[in-house]
Amino acid sequence: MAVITEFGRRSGIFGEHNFKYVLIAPAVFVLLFIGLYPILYSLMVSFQNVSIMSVDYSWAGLANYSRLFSDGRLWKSILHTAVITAIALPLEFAFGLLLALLILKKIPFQRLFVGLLIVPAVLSPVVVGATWRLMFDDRFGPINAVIRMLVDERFSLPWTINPNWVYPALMITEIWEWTPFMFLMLYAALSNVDRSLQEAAEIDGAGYWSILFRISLPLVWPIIAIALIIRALDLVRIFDIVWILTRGGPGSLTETISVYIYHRGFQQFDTSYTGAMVFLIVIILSIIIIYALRRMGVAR
Amino acid sequence: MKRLFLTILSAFFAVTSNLVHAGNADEIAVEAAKKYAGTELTIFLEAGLSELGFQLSTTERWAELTGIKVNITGAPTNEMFSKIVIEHRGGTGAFDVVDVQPPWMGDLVEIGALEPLDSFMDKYSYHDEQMDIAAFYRDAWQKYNGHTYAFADDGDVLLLYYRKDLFEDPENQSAFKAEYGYDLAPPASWEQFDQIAKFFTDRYAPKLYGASMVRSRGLTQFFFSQQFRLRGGKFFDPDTMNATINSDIGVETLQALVDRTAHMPPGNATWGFVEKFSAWLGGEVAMTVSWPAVGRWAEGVGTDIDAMSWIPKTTIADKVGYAIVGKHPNMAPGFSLAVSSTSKNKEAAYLFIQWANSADVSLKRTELPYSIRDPFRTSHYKSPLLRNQWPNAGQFQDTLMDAGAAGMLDLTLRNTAAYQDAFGAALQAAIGGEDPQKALDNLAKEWDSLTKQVGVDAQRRAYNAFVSTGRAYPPGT
Repeated sequence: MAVITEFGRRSGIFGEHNFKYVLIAPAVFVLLFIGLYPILYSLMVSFQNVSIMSVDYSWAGLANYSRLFSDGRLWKSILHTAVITAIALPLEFAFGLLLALLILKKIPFQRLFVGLLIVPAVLSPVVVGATWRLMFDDRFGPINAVIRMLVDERFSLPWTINPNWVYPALMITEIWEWTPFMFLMLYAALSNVDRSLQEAAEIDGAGYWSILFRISLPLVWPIIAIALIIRALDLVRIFDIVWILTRGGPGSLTETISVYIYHRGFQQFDTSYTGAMVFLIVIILSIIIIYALRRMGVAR
Repeated sequence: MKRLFLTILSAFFAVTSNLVHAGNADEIAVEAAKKYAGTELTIFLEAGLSELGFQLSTTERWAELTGIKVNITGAPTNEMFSKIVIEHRGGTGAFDVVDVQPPWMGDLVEIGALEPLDSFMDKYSYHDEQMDIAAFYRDAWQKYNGHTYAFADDGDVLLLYYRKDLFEDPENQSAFKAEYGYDLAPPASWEQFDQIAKFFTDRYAPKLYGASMVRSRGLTQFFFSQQFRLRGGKFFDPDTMNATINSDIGVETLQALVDRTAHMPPGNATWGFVEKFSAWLGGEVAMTVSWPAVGRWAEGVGTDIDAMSWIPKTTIADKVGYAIVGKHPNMAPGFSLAVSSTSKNKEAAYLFIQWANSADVSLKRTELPYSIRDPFRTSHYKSPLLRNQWPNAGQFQDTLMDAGAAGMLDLTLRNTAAYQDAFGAALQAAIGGEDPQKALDNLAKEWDSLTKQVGVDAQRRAYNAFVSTGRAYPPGT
């Protein structure tokens, strides 16, 4: 209850200290409802037995969760996702860094290059996937056409169904699209490094690479960490490019977590089991992110 | 006496009025639908040419006749089932009419997504004209548990198309006879198909190859299914419902399918329908097995309109012959028109499908080259309109009818779409280089998991119903 202690000042929930929370509370509740309700509903469904065959909302206990451990395809999809993340992330970072260092050197038409370099990142992943699918097409695609010109006119390589080449095809597409994001983050960060520190190091005899790795990069480490976490989460969620290029094939060789969950939830309509899978992934990711944030020194 | 006379007269008119109505299903539908003028319906179709066909030939005409606007929406074939189920579960009422593949019908009926049509058929006298639908489509593609839920609307069946000029060339004939010991003729079996394909590839590559076939995920299983069953393969053990797709017969069939790629143009391993018929129309291959639309396009029928400008110009008109490989082709996938149970305009939706499916209207639709609606009525096969579209169109229609009469149904179970999806993925893995035994073992494992999910007893009932159609496997096997 509000108590007027002096003109214009109140205590209680409408007190000066608390009133700001009262004002933002409705918006926060709406956001929580929108954000949390689907998660809580999925959690509830994961303890039921809803599928295409039956809409059974009765309690099914941990049946769906116990299925997780015997689902080899789920664990393979987690492995596929980890492989894609482990390879694509460092390569995107390395290429992004190289491009940023190149552009920082004040080359001619610098702004034009910057503009062109970020084009892939602004395209829809579906468009990128469809474009590269055509690029890799054995009959109509330019990649094999060029190889045929250089090597042998009978050369034939079905990139998107050959088990040895499907991952390179995926990586090329993914890295092509998202290296510009890394480039942009690193370019912006490195552009704002205090030049005086670098000049002081130069005066002391430090070489280019020493300055880069011992002064510049450590100074922008928080930005790098955030960029890496954002990209890592994107890679864990990867769906569009995989779906358009391979649909998780050949077989289930490139099936990532998202593709498998989509397959299970929206093609097989194994709704409750899909809910259990989602929560498993949420738990695993939460542990990894908290650990990563602490290790990176970002969560201080 | 007077009473007897009046009774007989009444009975006479009752019977003849039914006969009159039965011959005019489209007129009955149009008249009845006028009371719904101003209503809008939404039809959900396979994306691409099906949408175009309905848009250019069907929905506009219906709107002119009845004042009912029909909106068209679609999805790729392998996403249609998901979308129908999602819309139904969501209770959105977004679709009024849905185009369903016959193997999905059982699942859609069990979850309550489709409206039974029997009462509408009685009300609008759509029984006699139904009998014109070829029995092999009518009996298998329309009913579930004794009730009608859809009207067969697309007579899909896989035919062999071959280059008559190459087969009839005397030099080819003598060279083939010398090498293989029998006359060069349309292959009667897949073994002969492979020999002929190899012959033409060895003789003419890289200018021309023996064959091209669809190899894309989602379609290849239709071709594998036929070959597997012709060899004596069975999908399941009927007692245990364990998948037997990975039997020796399965592995042999899949190995043969993979090996066949050696006699196809480079890159065929990833080809879908479009790439394959492009090669066929371009005269790059001697044979192909495909759907009926390819027969019309090979003769250039209707491909000179803007809507069909994306189809390559045919170089093989008047050079194509038609046959059936292995006597019992696959009737896949096929489409039937149904009414969604969540439609807010069920009667209007039903009248639309009765009209579109009627003898007269459906004939016009199958005539259109871009509609990819293939003949499915006896009157279609015998229609002078279709039989005179090109010089040997009559032979084409006869072959289609024979193929349907001898055809095998596509695998139909509970949760069929999931089995189909796993099937396509496994075949693609083998085409991409995985060991066929391993690919089929993984498939069998996936199918067994799906069977357990559905319930073994429930799936056994569904499988037995499929087998009891008499069209699940070649007769006598």
